[in-house]
Amino acid sequence: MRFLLGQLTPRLGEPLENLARIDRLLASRAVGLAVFPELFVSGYRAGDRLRALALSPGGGPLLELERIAAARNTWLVLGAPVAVPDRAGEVFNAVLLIGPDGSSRYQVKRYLPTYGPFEEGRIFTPAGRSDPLPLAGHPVGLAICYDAFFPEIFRELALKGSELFLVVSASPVTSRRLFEKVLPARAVENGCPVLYANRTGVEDGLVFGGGSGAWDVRGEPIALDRVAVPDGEPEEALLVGELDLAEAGRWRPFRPVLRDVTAHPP
Amino acid sequence: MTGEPRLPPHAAETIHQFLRAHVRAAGAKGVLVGLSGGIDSAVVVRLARDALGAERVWGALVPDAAFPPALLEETERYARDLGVPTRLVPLAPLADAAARLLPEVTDRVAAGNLKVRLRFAVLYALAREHGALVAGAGNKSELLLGYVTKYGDGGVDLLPIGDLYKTDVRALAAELGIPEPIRARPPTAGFWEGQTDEEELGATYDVLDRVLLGLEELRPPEEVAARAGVPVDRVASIASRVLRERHKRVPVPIPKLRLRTVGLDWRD
Repeated sequence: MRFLLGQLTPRLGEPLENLARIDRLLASRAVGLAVFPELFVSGYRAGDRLRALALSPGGGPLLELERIAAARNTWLVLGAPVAVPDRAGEVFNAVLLIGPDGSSRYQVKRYLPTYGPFEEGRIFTPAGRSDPLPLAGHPVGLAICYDAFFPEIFRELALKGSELFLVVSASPVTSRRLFEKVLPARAVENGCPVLYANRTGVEDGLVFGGGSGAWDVRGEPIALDRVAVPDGEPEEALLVGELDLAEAGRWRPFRPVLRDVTAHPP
Repeated sequence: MTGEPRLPPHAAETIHQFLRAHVRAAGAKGVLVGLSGGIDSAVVVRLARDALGAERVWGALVPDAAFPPALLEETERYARDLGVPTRLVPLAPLADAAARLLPEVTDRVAAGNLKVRLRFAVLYALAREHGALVAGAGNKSELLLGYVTKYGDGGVDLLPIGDLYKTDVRALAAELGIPEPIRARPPTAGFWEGQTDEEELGATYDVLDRVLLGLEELRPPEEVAARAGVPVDRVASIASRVLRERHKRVPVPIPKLRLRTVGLDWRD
């Protein structure tokens, strides 16, 4: 499956512009899967506005995303604030998985960074569990940014059947080297390829670090073509590669960590 | 001694990105930098030129009467070599008028602060004409020690090197190939003739930055002292100075009376 990682800078507080940009960028590219960063719909430091910017079931922006996925015949993965009717007043930092059939599902961020410049624990409600979601007939585990530093989440997702990890992020340049180390580790320890899309741009003093990438089951980088973004900033890029969704199933008999951890739990 | 700050990786590229993004977000045409002849403003104007292109950077020199003519010439030449146009505005007429108007201001720090605020009033007027943001040259050592004038050099639109210690700025200047005379010149606020930062602050930046980095990393005072090669009470006095000068770093305090309060919990 051909995939695209959209290492882009969203416009803060402008969801319709951000969705229109996704639509434009996908118009000229045939990919089966397109991944965009954490909170791409709203921007990251939207503060108290995040509640108003949250997507909700049946709302205009979500319908637009479902339309784009269907029109471009692609699986769309991206970060957005989400609100649901039975949890009034709460907002979730979520990664959405929208299918070409117009279906949409999401995973909520587990660990909300509330240290240094991050205040997510003040704004968002965390999730207590992670579950694989179906993508083209394969269970896929989704995670957001700081979640990448918790191997427990990825083990949980792998043991529940995930054959691919998709990680979206709004991570600053000061954390870039850390992600470069843990993401291939998550791939190796679970025998599961990882796709990672991090954003670029600047909000207040936060400079987001890009560094999006993809790793195979051995933790080796998957070759990516870097395509410049029309009218984009130099640090923005579209990274295009080829993903083998059956790789995890083929690899795991030769390095059966999931079988062994099930037989002998730690 | 150990514990000296190391220039963070990708510092220059990160600052380039920061400058471009803020100029774009503000809808500005570029940035204006006040040039003092020192290393900090030399680094800032160079980073701005590299990030935005020379046609979107303006340099301004607003020297007081005591500013050495040779240094003026050298600073203008440095900007010219970068392709950055400069505007020279002598501060003396403004400063002299203020001094005549305010004979009761005799304290040399108060008089120095007044001059700095007048200088930045000039920079803002010029920036407005160009549709530019004012990029300050304050570094992290100065910000933490409060070695800045509130609403003078501390009152700017952007502080591109505000998270770099003086030691980092020196390393970055070397990396950028800033001319040696600029890098070697003793730092001064220029409040009075012969003033140097290090004499007034009572220690070299080499020592101060080791202490400040230790404070940043929340190390115990004894350890900070050992790493900086100074007695523990010296660390304590620097730490208390940092705390005393906090008012220069935080938003103007406003008493909370309503649901969301500017500077406190109004988050947009």
